[in-house]
Amino acid sequence: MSYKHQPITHTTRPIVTGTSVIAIRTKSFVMMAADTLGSYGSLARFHDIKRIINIGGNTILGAGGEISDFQKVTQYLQGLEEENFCYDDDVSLTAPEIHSYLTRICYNRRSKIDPFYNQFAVGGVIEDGIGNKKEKRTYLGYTDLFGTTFTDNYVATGFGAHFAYPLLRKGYEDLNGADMTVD
Amino acid sequence: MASVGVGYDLGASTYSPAGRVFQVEYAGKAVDNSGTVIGIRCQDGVVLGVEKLIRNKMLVTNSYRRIFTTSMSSGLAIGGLLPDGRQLVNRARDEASSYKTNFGIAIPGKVLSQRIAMYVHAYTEYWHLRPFGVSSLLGVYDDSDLGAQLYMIEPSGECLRYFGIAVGKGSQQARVQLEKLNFDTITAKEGAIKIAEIIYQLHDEVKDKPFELELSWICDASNKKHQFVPKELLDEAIAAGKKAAEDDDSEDEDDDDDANMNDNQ
Repeated sequence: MSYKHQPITHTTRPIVTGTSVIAIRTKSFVMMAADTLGSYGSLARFHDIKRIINIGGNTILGAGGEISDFQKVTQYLQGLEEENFCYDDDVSLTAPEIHSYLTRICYNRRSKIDPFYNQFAVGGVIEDGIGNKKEKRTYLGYTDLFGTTFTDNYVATGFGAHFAYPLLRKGYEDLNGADMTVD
Repeated sequence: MASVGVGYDLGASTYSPAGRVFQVEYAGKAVDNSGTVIGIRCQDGVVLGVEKLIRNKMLVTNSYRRIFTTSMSSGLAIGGLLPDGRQLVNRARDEASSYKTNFGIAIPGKVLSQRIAMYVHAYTEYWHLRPFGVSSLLGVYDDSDLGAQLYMIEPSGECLRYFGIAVGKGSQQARVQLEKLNFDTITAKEGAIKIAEIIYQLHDEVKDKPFELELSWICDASNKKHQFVPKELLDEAIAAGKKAAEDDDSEDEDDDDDANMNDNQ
């Protein structure tokens, strides 16, 4: 057996990329914003790419990073949703479930040095409890190509993380626990 | 009752001298003994309805399902052995899902019906397997030129496209009723009500157990998605069904009265 060949590597650099997704969370809603640009290196190549998608009616998922990986992840999740639609039992993927699923995928892929080269922002509204005691709460989480995961009141990917976090931190501090309206 | 197929009915791999495969025909008998399943292909969609005979009073209402969603825009109604039917539903779901993964679009009706039919047919070819005791009614509403489609896949693997079709206990009479419909103009809503009327009329109160009506559709009103008909329409259909059954009964009574009058004179 020869060990002279290079170790097997998979794609570890992104080609067509999206950048910032910024998301905030309040007691009553989650809001996410992103541009629709797909960059080819320094070329602003694709101008109309969806970087935020809706899953299951109650969750939004935004991503920066390699667009093809995001599209693949989208297909997986929509396949899972179609499965749920078939079972027809009022069970649908919720934001924390999608967040957990993505984290598992991302971490396992990174452990094979074959990552989904993305940073994800997952947000949604969940209903807890049964019957009359149902309560709605909002959820916002982040997971990325390494499998790093956290939830917070505000989340940003790409360059947005550098620009937005300081502004968002100040904004939340000023609010001092008060709630925001959609305006 | 002497068995017609004596000697040639031990396995699906045997023909009789008359060219019949008895095991497949016996599988059809399993379908004939189950509750009526009716499908109507309407101008704006497909409607499927099942007369679910409730064998046990302890059963939780609506927990017993005979109509299943196989993809966003297709549904399968099962007549015959339900466990066999569930196997077909799983297979149909897998086919639909893998087609979507490979080709990027929802599986067209023609393809899904053929895939199910080939699967059913495969089980009629071997001695060591038994055929599915299921006739399934597949309703699909895809984006092709065919629009709304209704297919029936029989235990033999035969798969044909229909305007309206019924299987199960009351299928003979149901098919007679279906032939009277105008398929050029019928809407999904009318179809749902018509199915309910037929099922209620055909249900034999004396011989059969109580039943639940299960109605589903894939139509423009449901955004081409397979779903159970909205509660208001279901209630309307059940009311229409009960009324049709009563009208039917009272017609029979009138006939009896006339007969009596003739006797007296």
